[in-house]
Amino acid sequence: MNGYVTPTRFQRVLDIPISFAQTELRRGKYIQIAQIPVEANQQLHVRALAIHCVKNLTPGAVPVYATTSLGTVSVGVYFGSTLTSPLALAYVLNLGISSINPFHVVKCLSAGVYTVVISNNTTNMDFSVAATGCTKLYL
Amino acid sequence: MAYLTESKLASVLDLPVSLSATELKQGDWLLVSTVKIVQPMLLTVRYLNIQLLSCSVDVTKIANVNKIYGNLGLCYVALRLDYASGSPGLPGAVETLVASDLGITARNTAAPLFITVPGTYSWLVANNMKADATSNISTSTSIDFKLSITGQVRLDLSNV
Repeated sequence: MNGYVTPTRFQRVLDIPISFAQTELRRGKYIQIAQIPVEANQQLHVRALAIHCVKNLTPGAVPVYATTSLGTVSVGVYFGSTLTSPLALAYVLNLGISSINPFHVVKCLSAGVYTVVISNNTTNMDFSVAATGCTKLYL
Repeated sequence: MAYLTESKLASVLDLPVSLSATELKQGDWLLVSTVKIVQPMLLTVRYLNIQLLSCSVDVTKIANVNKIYGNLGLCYVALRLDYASGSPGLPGAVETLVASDLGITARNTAAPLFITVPGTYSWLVANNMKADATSNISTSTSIDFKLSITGQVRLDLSNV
């Protein structure tokens, strides 16, 4: 991985965008932002994923968590359909921003479909949220 | 100019600043994208454009009195550092892309912005319109825009 990059190699490295502009996310709901199929001998690297909880649409409410480990709202990269087992996760407990550590690379080598999902993990609060990120796909 | 290595390529990420066609109500704003940078990262802002697809009123009837901020056109995209809340048009934006007419307004790609100051950078799009009794548009009419944004910023994780 320390050699020089040839134009042929460069063409086979793709930056896949993860973009979710400010959207109202209701209690208990989740939205799939992206899906990235990875085939054998391909690699998916996740280094940038951030969530911005812009607004609390139910001020004064005390959050009741459906899944405490996912904070109030979260965005994650998932392999499979279980929301409680993300490969990479950024979550917030209150308003503000959270991102994964870009210096800790999450490498996905198994063939299959990886999804990026943003979710509201409370049962009684609505939020306005945005998410931004990028994955690198090595073909 | 050195050659590009595999490790360097792996540490350079292209992040999206993107909003699909959305109706933005009079005076409202939306957060489009957020990037957090720490040392020794380098964020390069080069490519960004906004397209005003349609307006709920005849844009030729819009007067300066209908603008919340006189210098920010009909709609604008503001890049702000450590944005938490409040109007994105307030003084202090890192940079602003102003759309003054229907159609596409693009950032000058020949003038990239290099950012190394740690913080959270957010792109917000805002509708710069307000009602005014002295304009040709009734105060009961909302000046809304349908718009979309496309852009890209480059995050270099190890700018050393």
